[in-house]
Formats: sequence, C-alpha cells, structure tokens
Amino acid sequence: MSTGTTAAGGAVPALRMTDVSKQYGRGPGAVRALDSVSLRVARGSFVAVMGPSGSGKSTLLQCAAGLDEASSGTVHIGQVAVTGLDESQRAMLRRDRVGFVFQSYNLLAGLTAYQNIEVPVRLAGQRANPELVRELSERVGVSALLRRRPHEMSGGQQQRVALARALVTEPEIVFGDEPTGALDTGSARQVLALMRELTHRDQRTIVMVTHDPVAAAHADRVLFLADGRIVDEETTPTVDVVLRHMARLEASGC
Amino acid sequence: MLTLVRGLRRLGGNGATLVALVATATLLAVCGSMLAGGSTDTASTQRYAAAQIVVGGESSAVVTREGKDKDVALPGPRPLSAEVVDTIRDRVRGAGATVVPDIAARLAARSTKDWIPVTAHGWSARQLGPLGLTSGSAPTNSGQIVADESLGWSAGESVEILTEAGPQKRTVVGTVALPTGATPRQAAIYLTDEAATALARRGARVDVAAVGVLLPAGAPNAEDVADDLRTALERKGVVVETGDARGQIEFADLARARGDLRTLSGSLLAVVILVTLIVVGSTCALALSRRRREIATLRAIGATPRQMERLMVGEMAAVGFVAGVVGLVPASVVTKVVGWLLRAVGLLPHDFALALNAVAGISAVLLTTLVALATGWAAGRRTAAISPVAALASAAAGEQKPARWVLVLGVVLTVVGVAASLLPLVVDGIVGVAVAGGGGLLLVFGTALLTRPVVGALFQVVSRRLLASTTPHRWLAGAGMSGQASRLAAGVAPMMLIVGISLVQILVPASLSAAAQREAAAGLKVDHAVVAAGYGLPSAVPRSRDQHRPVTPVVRQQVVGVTTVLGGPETFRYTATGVRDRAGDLLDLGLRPGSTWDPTTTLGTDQAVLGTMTAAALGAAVGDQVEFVLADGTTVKPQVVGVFERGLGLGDVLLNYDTLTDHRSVSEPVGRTANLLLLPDLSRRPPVGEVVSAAEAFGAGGDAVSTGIAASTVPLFALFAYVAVSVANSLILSVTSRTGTFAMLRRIGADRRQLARSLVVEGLSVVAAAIVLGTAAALLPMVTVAYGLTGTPWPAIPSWFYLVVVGAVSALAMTAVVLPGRLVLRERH
Ligand SMILES: Nc1ncnc2c1ncn2[C@@H]1O[C@H](COP(=O)(O)OP(=O)(O)O)[C@@H](O)[C@H]1O
Ligand SMILES: [Mg+2]
Repeated sequence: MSTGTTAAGGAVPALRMTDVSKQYGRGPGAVRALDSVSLRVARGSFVAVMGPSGSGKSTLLQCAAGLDEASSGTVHIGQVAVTGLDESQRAMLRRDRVGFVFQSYNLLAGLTAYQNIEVPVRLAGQRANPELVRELSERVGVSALLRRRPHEMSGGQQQRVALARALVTEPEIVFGDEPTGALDTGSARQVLALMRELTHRDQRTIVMVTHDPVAAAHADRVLFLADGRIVDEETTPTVDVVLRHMARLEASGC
Repeated sequence: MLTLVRGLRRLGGNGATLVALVATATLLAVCGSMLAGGSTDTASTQRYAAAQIVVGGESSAVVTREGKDKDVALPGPRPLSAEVVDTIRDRVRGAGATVVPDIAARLAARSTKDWIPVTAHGWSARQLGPLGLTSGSAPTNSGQIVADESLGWSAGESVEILTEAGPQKRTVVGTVALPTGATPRQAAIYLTDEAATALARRGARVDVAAVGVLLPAGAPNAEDVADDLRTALERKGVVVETGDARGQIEFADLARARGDLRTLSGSLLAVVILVTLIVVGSTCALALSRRRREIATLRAIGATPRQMERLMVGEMAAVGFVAGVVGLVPASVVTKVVGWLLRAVGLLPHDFALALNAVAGISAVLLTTLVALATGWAAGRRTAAISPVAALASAAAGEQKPARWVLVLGVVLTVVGVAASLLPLVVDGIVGVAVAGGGGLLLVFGTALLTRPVVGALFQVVSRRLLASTTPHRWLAGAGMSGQASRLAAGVAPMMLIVGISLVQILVPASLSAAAQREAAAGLKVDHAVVAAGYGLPSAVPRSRDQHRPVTPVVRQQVVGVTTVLGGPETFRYTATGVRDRAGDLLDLGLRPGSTWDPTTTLGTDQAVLGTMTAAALGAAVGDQVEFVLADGTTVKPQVVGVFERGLGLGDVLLNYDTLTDHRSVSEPVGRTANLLLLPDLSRRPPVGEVVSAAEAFGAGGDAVSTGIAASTVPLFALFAYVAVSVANSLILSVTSRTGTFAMLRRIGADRRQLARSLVVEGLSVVAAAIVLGTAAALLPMVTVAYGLTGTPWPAIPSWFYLVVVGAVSALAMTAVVLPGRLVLRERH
C-alpha cells in the first residue's frame, strides 16, 4: 500500500505537521488547545508525547490522525495532505493509512481476535489476507488466541490484538492514546517492547501519548507539550531524564 | 426528541428503568381506573331525586345446578314483580312513606320531525322527581300526554307515539321540567297511569322499572329503611339504593357500561401484569448489564453479596416509588384518551366519563414500587451472588445467561399454550375456540420469556451471515450483533409481545365476525331490513297482497344458556332470534337432517332451534330439553326441535317471538315491538326506522370484522401505548449503550454513514425477528381457531390489520434506532 513512499526513500516523513493550531470555541471563552505546533516524525521511529493534563496531547493526536480538523496549519500523513479532506475522505484515510490503539474500548466484544484484527480491512469492504493476519498475529504474539473473544484474553493480550489490528492495513503511522494506561506493569512492558521492536525491526512508525515515564523511556524521542506548544524534546529518553523534564514543566506551569 | 434522548443517556441505565417504571405506573393506574368503572358524576339521579330510596331490578340472575349457584349477567335490569311492589308497601307503611311505582315503557315519539326515543312514564311517577308542570295541565285520558319541556313541544300540540300497533296520535296537554332546571339525560313523556300500565304490559305482567319511596319529613333515617328493605327483598333480584347510587337504577345504560368496563378490564388484568413484568424485567436486565462493571468493582473492593442485594433493592424501590408518582401525570391524560376512544367505538355511552380513580392511582404507585422491588431483587441477586472475579470477567463479556426459572416457565407456558391451541381440532364449538384464544396468549408469553435463547440462536445465524459480507455496513451490523443476545432480546421481547398480543386478541372476534358474515350472507333470503336506534318497531305490519313474503318483525335478545359441567352450572351468553310468523320464508337456516321442525311454520313457545355451536356447547340434540335465562331473568326450558348451520350469522338460538318480547329487560323496547323488520322489497318500506342491509341488521354487515377488531383492540390502547414506550425505551438504551464502541470504530476509520447504515441493518433485523416470533407464536391458534369456526385453516385476521400492526411496530422500532443513532454518531470524539 505504501510501497511507493518506501521506494522514495526516507525523505518523506510519516507525519508532518506545520504551524498547526487548534482552537475550541469562539470569543472570550475560546481555548487554544494547540498553538503553532510543527512536527516531523520519520518513518521507523517511535515517538512519545508527554505533558500535563490539559496541555493538548489528545488534541495533537486528533489533528495529526485526521480525526479532527486543525484551525490552521497543515498536516501530511506520508504524501497525503490531511488538511482539506472532507469528513468521509478523512475516515478513509484513517482506515487505510493510519492505525489506532486506545486505552479502552479497544476491541469489539462479540468478535474473535481474528475478526477484530480484520476490522479496518472490512471497513474498506475487503477481506483480510489470512496469510497476513497470521503473520501479524505471530509478530505480536497472539497467534494461539485468534479464535478467542476479548473477554477470554488478558488486557495485555487484548492490546496486542489491537496492535495487530492497527497494523493490518500496513499504515503509514500508528497512533496510541495511552495504550498501556490500563495494563499492569508486566503486560505494559511487554507491549512497549513490542512497539519498540515493531518500529526498529519492521520500520513501522508509532506516535504515542502517555503520562507514564517508563512508557516514554521506550520511545526514541519524547516531545513535551505545555499549553498547546512543544516546549521540550528529548532524543535519548530514560526514566530519570523524562521525570526531570516533567518536573521542570510542572514547576513552570505553576 | 433528541434532547429527551440525551437526557436519558445522562441518566444512563437508571434513566431507562425509570422510564419503564413510569410507563408501568401509568398503565396500571389507567387499568385500575377502568376496573373502578369510571366516575359517578354523570350518573346522579334526576327523575328519582325526590325519592330517598329507590328499588330497581338487578341486571343479573342466579342459576342453580345440583345445589351450586352461579350469577349470570342479563342485558338490562329485570322488571319488578307485583309481589316486590307489595312487599315494599308493607315494609314502609309504618314509616308513613309514599310508595310510587315507576311504570315505564321505551318507545319513540315525534311531533313533525324524526322519531326520537323517549320513555313513557305514568303521571304519578312525576312525584319522584319531583317534576313540576311548567305549562298546561295533567293528562286526564289516554289521548293526552305531558312532555318534558326539553322536547320543545307545547301544550295543544298533536304528536305521535310508536307502539307495537304502529304510530298513534296523542295530544300534548302540558309540559314538565326538573326542579333543578337541568336538561333530562333521557327524554320522557307522561301518560295517565292507566294508559302507561296498558302500554307497559308484557304478556301477563306490567313493566315496573323502579319503585320510589318518598319518606315524610321527620321520618326515620333513609339508610335504615333501605337496610330493612334489603333484608325483606333478599334474593328477589332487586337492588335498593339511596343517595347518588339511585342514578344506577335510573340510568341502566351507565350502570351496564360500568359493569362492562369492569368485566373488560378485569379480563385484561392478567395480560397487563404479565406484560409489565416482562417489560420491566427485560429493561432492568439491560440497564443492569450496563452497570455490571460498577457492580463488579464494588464486589471486588469487598462489598458482600448481601450488601449488593440490599443496594439494588433499595435503589429500585426508590426509583419505583418516584416513577409511580410521576406516572400518575400521564395516567390522567391516558385515562381520558381511553375513555374517549371507548366512547368513539360505542363501547361506552356518549356521556360516560372515564377519569383517573384515586384508589387506582394509589394502588398503581404501590404496585409499581413492588414490581421495581421484585425485579431489582431478582436481578440484584443474580448479579451480586457471583464471585468478584467472575463478575469482572462477565462485566467485560457483557453477557449474562437468563435465569433458569425464566426458561423453565417459558417452556411450560409454551407447551400448555400449544396444547390449548390444539383444542378446536378436538372439541367442537365455542369452548374449544375460547380456550385456543387463551392458549394463544400463553404461547405469546412463553415465547417472550424464551426470547433470550431464541433470539441468541437466531442472531448467531444472522450475524454470521452478515460477517461474511464484504459490504462494510452489513459486516459492521454483524459485528455489532454478534454475541449480543441479551441486548437484542431486550429490544425484541416487547415488540414481539405487541405483535403477538394484537393478533391473539383479535383472533376470536375477527374469526367469529367473519364466520357470521359468511353465514348471514348465505342465510338471509332478503337484502334489506329496517332498524331503529333506541326504540322498537311496530310488529303489526300491514299484510300486503304478497302473503308469501311479508315484512317480518324480528326480535333479538341476549339470553343465557345453562348446562351442567362437572356437577355445577356452566353458562354461555347467546344471541336469541325470534321471527314473527314463519322464519322459513326469509331465512335459509341450513337445518341439519333430523330436525323435527318445519321452518314454514311458527316456532312454538316451548320449542327452540339451536345453532350447531350452541348445540355443541350445551351438549343438546333434537328432542332434548335446554335451559335458557331470558332478559328479564325468567328461566325457560324449551325442547330442541332442530339444529341449524348458520347460528353465528343468524342467532345462536331461535325462540318463539312472543316468548322473547314478553321477557325483555326494562331497558328494552316496549311490548311486542320488533328490533328489526326484514324487508323483502324496498317499496314496502315502513315510515319509521332506517333501511340497512339485512346482514348489517343481524350484526354481520360488511364492517362486522373491523367493528369486532375495534371492540377488542381499543380497550387495549393503554397497553399498546405502554409497549410502544417500552420498545422505544429499550432500543434507545440499546443504541446509546454503544457510544464507546462507535467512537472507537470512528477513529479506526469507519465513517458515519457506514455506522448509520449498520444501525439500520441491525434495526431491521430486530424488527424482522420480532415480527417473525410474534407471528409464529400466534400462528397455531390462528389456524386452529379458523379451523374450528370455519372448517378452513385460513386465519380470519384481515391483512390490513396485520399490515397496520407490522407497519406500526417497524416504524416505531426504526425511529427508536435511527434517531438516537444519529445523536450518538453526531458527537465529536
Ligand atoms: N471539544 C472540546 N471543546 C472545548 N475545549 C476542549 C475540547 N477538547 C479539549 N478542549 C480543551 O483543550 C485543551 C487541551 O485538551 P486535551 O488535548 O484533551 O489535553 P490533554 O489530552 O493533554 O489532557 C484543554 O484545555 C481542554 O479543556
Ligand atoms: Mg487526553
């Protein structure tokens, strides 16, 4: 699907945001949730976004993924300009070029793991290639669970299925909104390791919002957001370094 | 609508439960008010206002078989016998009271315009009012009358009255009015007592409609005298009333309507209670499944099952009570609407007021609280009793198996229902048919209880098929329905109830009407008949040159057939037909071989001809003696001289004309006047009444089926409204409970249109399942009843009715799915 961009080399980033602002409401009550954010995410990288509550993390993700329209600025996913697409074109974009992993409400309760992985392909009116699903499920470690329904799996296993679903369309980029937020430490670590592997070995691209320094430490790069702006960046994150950044942010916020 | 839905969503599961319970309280209060028999204000006495005590005939009689008594309803109050009048005189003589018998005859009168129904009283009865002369003088001979001022006739005017002999001239010599100046509810004229007695004569006796007791000033308490009279007149078939209740005697139609309303709502009560239990139960189950995670969490952090149970019961009791009180507001409106509908279809008199009854309202609040408590207890018990681990797991699964006793009860009801439905194949006559009708209800309820597993299995198949589709919205619908039996069943159950109940409810009346139509068409050799509204037609019809097919008077009367079943009396209500002179010329009865009666001769007073269904129910054959209670409570025991095929169309039993007219109730037409005249040719149309088709005159005209359907569905209006609210309620809850899932799907690339369409597919599947299940549940009795009544298996339910039910249910369900779906999908994520 994205072989064209691959052939063009690493020149085209998976995600490019230029001067993106997002304002909620009008007049005196307006909230500027994003303020001229510019950002490039290279293919094959694992980026974490951190920041205090209300700093604009979810808004950033929504604008980047084409869930919501930016008030100004441009967003590109691969070579596609997201800005200017209408509602249903953006839905198609998300279906074909973007993957999602959430904290909860992740899988459809009535469907098996296999059927859940298939969802985005089905939304496009196609059937998933069984070979591909099997390969993916092996890659994320759920190949033995394909016939189970969500309530027969642990949280970590469900989140792996969700990752497989996010990857099934071979998207340009995968977004995660606190994907490990609801998991116990052990499962969270395994899922994070898997995400790291997927970016490094398989050249997938992942942008993840998190408030967990341990999670952020698994990323290649951590962006710190405050009041709708990227105020800081760390390219060699460890738990300590991230904690220090956060402490500084929170101090200046007060 | 959208704001309402939004508000309900805020309230979450409890909002839906609240709505279900409010609707339940409304329904119970409405049914309770019907059971209480409407309000009394229209029925306060006018013409008996001056008599402190009024004695009238009972509208029932007692039949006895082998020492066991049974009360049977008569079509109107029985006239009072001379013996009763004498007893009253004896009893109150000591008190110095005046005893005034009201001799009354129902007939028609006119001055220059149309005939209008009036009651003719003896002049002495004016004291009961007391009515005062407003002009002119009292009648002094049989040619003079005094009329109600409200009739608009003045002294000196010449008018006509219509008796069995035909129109007769009278002169108005005075007018009277009520002392209150009110317009009389029933128009009346006053004759001399002698003339009234002559007019009100039926066979050997005179119709005394009531006796008024006027107590002198300073006389003992009216209640005491009344109690004394009650003791003296016990078992004489009379009622002794004082105060407002006197109106019940004066206005027999209102008293009868009240009785009918009670019978009607009493017979609906079981249906109503079962429906509310099923609806509240399924709504609660759905609402609880939404809160299961919360419950599981509480269990996990250490709440004991006992505490959980108490929490649920307490919460539901509170919600139930609030809902009960709130429900009284719509109840007062719905009661009025039901009253209006019942008046519109003629089941209640035009001035009968149906209003919310206080006792019914309070009972409804209490019952609703109880229902809420019970369902809260049942649901809470099940949810609370499982282990915390299992609770958390099943919270994720979102599915809980239905309770075993529900399934067992469902199977039992279904099996009994099937057995009952098969009865018409084995047992002839109305008994088998009636039992099958009841069996249909059991089948519908049984199926409703089994909805969960049945719907689960059904949707397993449907969702698997849909999941195989590559059309995204179909696939999405399949994904949404897969493993969601309880959510879907909660939507299907009330809808299948509405379909099933409406079919079963009209099944017997529609089949009977259709059969009656067919038999009347085959059995009537004349095309036209004359009928009159509220009065009798002259039976002394001038003979014409064509002696072979004269204009023929016919009397129709409700009688009660009595037989012995299991050592006690069993009774059936029948319509008896009496044909003056020879029935055979105008009716093709379809007499069965073996009949000894020659239809070209007049039926003797000790003879009866039975319709086949009547013969089957009474277990009688030619030569046997049968027992009937006539409208005035008299028992006759004629001999069966024939059995005929067309009983449903022409009358369940044929009796002698004079036997029937001589034993009418006091609310029926005077003397030997006819209820209808068969008209062999239009040129001999008499100058009274209205010409209609002969079939219509026999209650089997072209609109007989729709009239029958209206009569059996209108009383169910409140129930239908209730189920409609429940359907909408549970579907809205069902759709809005999936907000999270929709949000997720939207993010991973489902567009709004796909989701909206998938909801439509799901809605259609739910509608289809409900219609199929409801129809299937009613199908067996539909076929057997049709077979029992007509010999063919084709149900007599008209296709327009089925389409109306199906269309209404589909429209309702689709609205309840699509509108909240819109709302859920419009929200930003
Ligand atoms: N739909 C909305 N309408 C109005 N304000 C919003 C909306 N969504 C978010 N905001 C505001 O935008 C700011 C950023 O929100 P968000 O992106 O959710 O922050 P975070 O995810 O970092 O907690 C907050 O001040 C929040 O109140
Ligand atoms: Mg957020």
